[in-house]
Amino acid sequence: MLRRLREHAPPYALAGPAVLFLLAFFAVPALYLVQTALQSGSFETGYRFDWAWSNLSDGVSAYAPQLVRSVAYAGAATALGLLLTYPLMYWIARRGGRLKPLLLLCVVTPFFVTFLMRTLAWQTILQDGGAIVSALRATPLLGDDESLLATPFAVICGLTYNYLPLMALPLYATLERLDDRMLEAADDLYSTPAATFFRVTLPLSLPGVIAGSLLMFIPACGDYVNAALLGSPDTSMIGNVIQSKFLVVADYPTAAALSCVVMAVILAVVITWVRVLGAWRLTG
Amino acid sequence: MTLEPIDRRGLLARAAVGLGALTVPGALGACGGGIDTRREEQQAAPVRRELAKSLVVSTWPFYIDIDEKTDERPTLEAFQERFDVRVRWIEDINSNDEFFAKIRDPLTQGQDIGRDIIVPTEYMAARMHELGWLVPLDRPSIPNAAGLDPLLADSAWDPGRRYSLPWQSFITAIGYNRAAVGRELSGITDMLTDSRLRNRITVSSSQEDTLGLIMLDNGDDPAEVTDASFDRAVAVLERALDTGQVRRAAGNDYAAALAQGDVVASVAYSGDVFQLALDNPDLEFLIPDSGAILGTDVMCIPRGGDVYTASVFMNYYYEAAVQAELEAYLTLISPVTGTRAAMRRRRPRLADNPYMFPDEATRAKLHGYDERALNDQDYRSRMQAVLGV
Repeated sequence: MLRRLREHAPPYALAGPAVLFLLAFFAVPALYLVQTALQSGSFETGYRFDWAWSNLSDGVSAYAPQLVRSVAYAGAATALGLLLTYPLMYWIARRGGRLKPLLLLCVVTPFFVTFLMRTLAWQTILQDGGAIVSALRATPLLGDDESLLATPFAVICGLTYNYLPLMALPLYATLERLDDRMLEAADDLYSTPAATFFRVTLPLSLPGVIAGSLLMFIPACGDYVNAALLGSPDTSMIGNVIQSKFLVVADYPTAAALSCVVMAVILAVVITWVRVLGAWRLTG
Repeated sequence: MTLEPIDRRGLLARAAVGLGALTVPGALGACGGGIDTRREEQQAAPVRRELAKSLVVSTWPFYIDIDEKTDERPTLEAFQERFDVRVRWIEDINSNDEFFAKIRDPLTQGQDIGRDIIVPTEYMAARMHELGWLVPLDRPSIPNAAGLDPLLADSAWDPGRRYSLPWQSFITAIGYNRAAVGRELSGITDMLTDSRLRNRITVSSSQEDTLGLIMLDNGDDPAEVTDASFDRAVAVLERALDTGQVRRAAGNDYAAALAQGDVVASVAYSGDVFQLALDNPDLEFLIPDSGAILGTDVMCIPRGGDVYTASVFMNYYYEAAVQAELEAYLTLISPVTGTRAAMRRRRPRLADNPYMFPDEATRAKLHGYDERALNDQDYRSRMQAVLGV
């Protein structure tokens, strides 16, 4: 008996702290969130749990634009992040040589600055009197009375920049471990560089692409700081609505219901994304 | 209601609190059941007139005089020395609503929040009073309250100031860059409708600031908000947002945008514009003929606070000389009538500052905003909906 316990206990003992952590800080709060989402009443009269499922549908119908916007902005930021970091990480991982750690540090160092300060920096970068706006106004791209701040462009820029390392690091880890023999084999078989990339490198790096895009998309979808500081009422995301419902309006059930909806939407997007990329990896 | 410019009210800390609220533990704190505690008239329990060894104050960041050289807080140091009471000055109110969410659970459950004095904005104090969270001040221990400005002597929720005393007041009106606008603005409606200012103005995301000014322009009384006056004000704001006239509804960060020139006019606070105008003389603070909004943060004692020590502290800060020292740093509006005379002895130039010591004509144009409207969930929800959230 004691021997069996000695054999079987270590794995459970190792997993124990994490399981307890998840129970305390995810499972129980998630249940509490769902319970709050199903309450009805008002701040003045108090909220009571009474299976108010309508909170979910009412929340979705009232805030569908913000929900769609969140997915669209987070998706755009993730796509931009992928386009920006993939070539860079490829170059560092495959051509960086002894400078790899230093180059990687250069990518990550700006993110030692606090999230908020980085976002506020974008206010300065995109300000009307700034170099970018002045340069764009000299072209037909931006009219004299137009600005970059308080636009979807500004919010997506902020999201992309703020969550970039979450895409970059998994990509680097995957690209750095690419099997050179695979690339050599493609070369031996007279594959063009483009064909090698699309048929060998990219499929082999898909785990990094999937991990990076999920890590970037999920927090970007629920973000509200970028939309609050760089956006306008027309660019509000679902995170802004939840923040407002929780802290300003004190409509806790609607806020909780929207939080549940966001979790469901993110889960659906993640499953779809993983399936699409997984299928492409197998067939592509 | 927020007052200070971006560097003073700690936008960073505010956002950090906000972010925390969106984490699961934050959500836990913010969720919870309904409000169980309804207002019960607080019984004025007999006050034990003995100073405690320490006093804990929760307030806004940078809301007290600071000696830039030593980083000390002169008036607070003097209080500690005179009364031998150690003060823990906690700057943890970055937003009324976030602070409310933070103390809601313990106070609802009858627990002490470990604070002797809190300094919320008037409407939030009204909400806390309604929930039975505040205890009466020990007015006999605050003789200096006799010097309270008559303009602030009463509030709708606390006639006679039994539960609160103003800490500081500020005027909300229009801040604008006269040179960039090219003319004198007349009020918020002018700002919201002049097509030459399209996409170059911001409004405040606070209901009392923006809708209050619009109500005054509409000829409505912001101190007595009705469904009709609220609808009229919301319609004006909605139109301005729909036409792209307003770039964004800002919090404290409007000041940075105004200073940088990204916007040329904004709903603004008197103290902010005074500070910004020191660097940019083109910036002006306009109090329209229709009037402006007077905002006030008040000192209150939450349940469990030491009433006597807190009252002695309030009495100390109601000394005109202490107020003058405080105002020389804050440059806001003192609630104590003798402050101007004390300031004339201390910093004569500031004594003539119209932002800090508005003349009678200006004072006649100042209006409070209906606290009931600010605490009305439907109004709050509708204002937020107009702002896209």
